[in-house]
Amino acid sequence: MNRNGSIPAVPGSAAGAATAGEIERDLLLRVRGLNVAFGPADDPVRAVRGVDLDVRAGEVVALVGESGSGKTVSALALLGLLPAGARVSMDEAVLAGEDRAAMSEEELRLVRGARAGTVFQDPLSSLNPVQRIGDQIVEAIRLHRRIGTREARRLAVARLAQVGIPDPQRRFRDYPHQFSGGMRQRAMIAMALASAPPLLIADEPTTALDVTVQAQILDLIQELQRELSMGVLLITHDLGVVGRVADRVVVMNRGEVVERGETAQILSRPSDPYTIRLLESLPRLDVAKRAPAAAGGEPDGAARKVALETAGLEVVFSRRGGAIGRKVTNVRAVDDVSLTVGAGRTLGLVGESGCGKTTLGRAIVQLADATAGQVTIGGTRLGGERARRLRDLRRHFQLVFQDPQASLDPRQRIGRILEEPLALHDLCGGREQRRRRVVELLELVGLGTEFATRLPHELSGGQRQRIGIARALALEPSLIVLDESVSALDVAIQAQILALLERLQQELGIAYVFISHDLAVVRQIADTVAVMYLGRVVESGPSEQIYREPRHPYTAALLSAVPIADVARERARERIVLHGDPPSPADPPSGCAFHTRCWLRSRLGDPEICTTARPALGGRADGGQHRAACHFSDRQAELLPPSLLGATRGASA
Amino acid sequence: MASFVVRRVLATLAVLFFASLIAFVLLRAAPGDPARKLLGPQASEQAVSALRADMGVDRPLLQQYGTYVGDLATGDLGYSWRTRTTVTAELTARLPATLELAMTAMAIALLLAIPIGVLSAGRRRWVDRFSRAGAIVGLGMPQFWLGLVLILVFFTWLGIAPAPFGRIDDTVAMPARTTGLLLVDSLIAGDFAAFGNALSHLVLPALTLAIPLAAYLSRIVRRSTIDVYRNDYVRTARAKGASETRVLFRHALPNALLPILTLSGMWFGELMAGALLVEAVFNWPGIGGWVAQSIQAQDYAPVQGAILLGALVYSVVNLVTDLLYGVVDPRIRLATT
Ligand SMILES: Nc1ncnc2c1ncn2[C@@H]1O[C@H](COP(=O)(O)OP(=O)(O)OP(=O)(O)O)[C@@H](O)[C@H]1O
Ligand code: SF4
Ligand SMILES: [Mg+2]
Repeated sequence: MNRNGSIPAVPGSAAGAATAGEIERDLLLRVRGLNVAFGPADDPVRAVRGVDLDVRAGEVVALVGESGSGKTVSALALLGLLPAGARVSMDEAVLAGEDRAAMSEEELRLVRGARAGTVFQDPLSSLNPVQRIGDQIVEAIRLHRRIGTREARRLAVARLAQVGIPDPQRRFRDYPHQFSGGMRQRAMIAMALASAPPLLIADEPTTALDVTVQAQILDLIQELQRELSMGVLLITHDLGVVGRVADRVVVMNRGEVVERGETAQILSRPSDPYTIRLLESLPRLDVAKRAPAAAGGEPDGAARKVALETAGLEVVFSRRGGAIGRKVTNVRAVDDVSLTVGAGRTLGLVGESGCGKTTLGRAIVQLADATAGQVTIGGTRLGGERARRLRDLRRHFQLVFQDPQASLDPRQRIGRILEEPLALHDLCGGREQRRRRVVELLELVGLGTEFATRLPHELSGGQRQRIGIARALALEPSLIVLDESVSALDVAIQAQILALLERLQQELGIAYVFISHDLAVVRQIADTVAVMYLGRVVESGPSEQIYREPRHPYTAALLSAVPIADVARERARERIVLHGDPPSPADPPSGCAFHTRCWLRSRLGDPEICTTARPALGGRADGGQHRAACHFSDRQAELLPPSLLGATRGASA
Repeated sequence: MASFVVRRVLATLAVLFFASLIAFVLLRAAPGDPARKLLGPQASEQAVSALRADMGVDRPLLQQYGTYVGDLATGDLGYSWRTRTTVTAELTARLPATLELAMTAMAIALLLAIPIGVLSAGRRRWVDRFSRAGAIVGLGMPQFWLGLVLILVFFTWLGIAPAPFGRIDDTVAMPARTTGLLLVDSLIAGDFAAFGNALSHLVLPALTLAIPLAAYLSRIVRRSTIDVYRNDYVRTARAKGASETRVLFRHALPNALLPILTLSGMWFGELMAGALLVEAVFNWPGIGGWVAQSIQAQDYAPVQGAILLGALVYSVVNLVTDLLYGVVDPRIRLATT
């Protein structure tokens, strides 16, 4: 067994049989037989069962598993941070190189922060909203070191600079809500590293972040880990992240460890069935959508009907600001977007958070008012309808939300929820007919009839999302907009939902607009892709071409930022790092809006045209569908590092 | 921020206008003749109609309202025919007593509610059971009865509280008046004997007012504290190695008390209303008794004045708490600038 799975570079780790009671020098974290139970003693929820873990100095150990498998609870139990009511037991434990069992509560408290730093999942809720960022870091420093405030401040500013916060002197005085998601996570890391702890426990440190920011944060953790020779326990459900940074992997399922070993071995030759399933359901950047069966020999052209067309669509939000409310800021959330989606086809819409994906989706289904341009769905031009007529039209286009929980009325039974749109649109005459349709719908999304009498809270996240889809299907729409509809789900369930969507598309010929920040998922489901940046489409075209030969430097950067679960290819890849966050859409940069972060521009020696003229979304000379909005899109191919796209082209490339 | 204040001031003016209108209409809609009430049933019809002319209540309603609003605009709140003084003079003399009572009660309520609420949010279950029982009792008791019980216990039996008459003993010299608040004035004058005496008079009525509010607020503080403790930043603080005391005072309390601030503003208005009743029990020379008698006498001006005052206090207190909220919560402070 590869239980202690040490990495060869660390000397001394071979001495596995160290004398009992004496702790090996580079052993930072060890636990044997960790058990955690919640709830009543006679009917406990056993969240963690007999988990063993080891982390040594200088290595990154990834703890992976689906939601609810007990990853977070294990880490919190080791740190003594579980809420009251949790019952923890362990046979043997070492924390930050010291015997945990021998520690008093007070000693354990002092180990936290000083010798074991922690980064939590959600950087917004994990920072105190009414305390300045700087003060929170100063606190972390002064809790463990007797130094003056001024000295601590200097150190805190240095930490902020170290984690890459621009202008740390000034940012020190900001509050959490003034930071972007990525900056908050950096601040969290700065805080966790305040006392240069030998052990870092990072619980899903990048889950809520965009791929570009995720890449920055992972780089940062890796860099700091090497610099300080820390041991890192990285909790994640993302096998791509694992492939990128972890030395060893521990896989958990339902509170138990099911497999452990070297990262390369686990990702390429998993032995446990659960791990195998996990890897199989992982959407991959290099696996494209299966060609639609129905299309057959029919050429992609004039023959195909158009399900959705937008022309010059624009949504501008005006906000009054300033002292007397006279200053008006205009935010162009969607700017001059022209898209086409064929009947029975899927358009993937990708981009960083805040780029206008959701607003565009809402404008398409007439939930946000377009300030210019048109939406045409199934040949009907929309816009300016009276409420009644719009309601009638709505049956042709539906929206499925990101959060299945929030969009279902918690007090209505599923049957009622599905019947409601039918009754509203007076579709299937009598009650009996409606009932039958509900059963049909449930079967369509792969749920049994018995679900009709259940309440939303009795369903799992994946089942709830199926209900959301069934509700959208009830009216037999020709177009469904799916806004991050699978983002909150585990990969296995995500894979089921994606398969369901594909099946429904083939059977019913529905067109999808699939909004997601996850490029691998989009690759799996989309026929065409549009990439958005600051409200504009910067690249669009057939999915295959976009992933294999991106023509816009932003797309290339996005693709290069997605980590993949293949150690060899992942680590051989060169990376384009985008610095910072996207600029504010209220005040977009001049010329090409991407020029402030564009790597291609700097490789070309900062040509002036990028800052003065806005590039149009133009095609290649051969007149294909693949368009990009970049003055130099034809020069990109030669300047791309050759290994960069290895991940998206698959083994054949 | 500036526009916010301007808008709120305008809103306050509108509230005051409607309050004045409602007060005016309601009083005149009530049956009875104020001049007859004032002079008594024996007075001659002639004397009554002469007084009616003097008071101006014989003129058309619209005209009366015009004069009233016109006077208001110049800051003249009118004349009380019952006490034969201007309303402004009565208010200046009596309002500080009521304000001092209400403010002290507010302070006591917060001082009781915060520790009790925080402690009952803690892990010791019995504290919570105890404080919940106390809260139910405190909220359920009629206020005048609570006042009487306090007098009975602390004055009649234990003899440690002064007699429930007024704000200060006759034997003690009043401090020179600057704010009208005895505690403040005596401190300014450096007169600690007067301060102590005034305080001892204040304690029981203030407690009477404060206890129900404290009972209510302690439950809110408890809820709010429990909610805050569930937040991830509390876990972050612990993960940094902060002690439980530090977690409480540095991270949990500042967040837990934010909602209490708005509530306190709302409840100050209630306190002022409650004060009117408690003043009667303790013979407190505030505006309570004066308003009650004026209502009975159908003395229009003082009642109208009191209603306006109530609306004003309510608006001002709410404005102040909103502004304070903006100051203490950076999310709001930095969003409005
Ligand atoms: N305070 C608690 N009381 C009761 N049950 C709990 C508590 N905290 C966690 N659990 C349960 O313990 C199990 C493991 O939860 P845990 O948070 O460790 O999952 P996870 O692997 O971190 O999942 P995710 O990927 O969603 O973060 C879950 O079934 C969860 O419902
Ligand atoms: S136009 Fe210039 S700045 Fe914009 S993407 Fe192309 S190279 Fe970059
Ligand atoms: Mg977790």
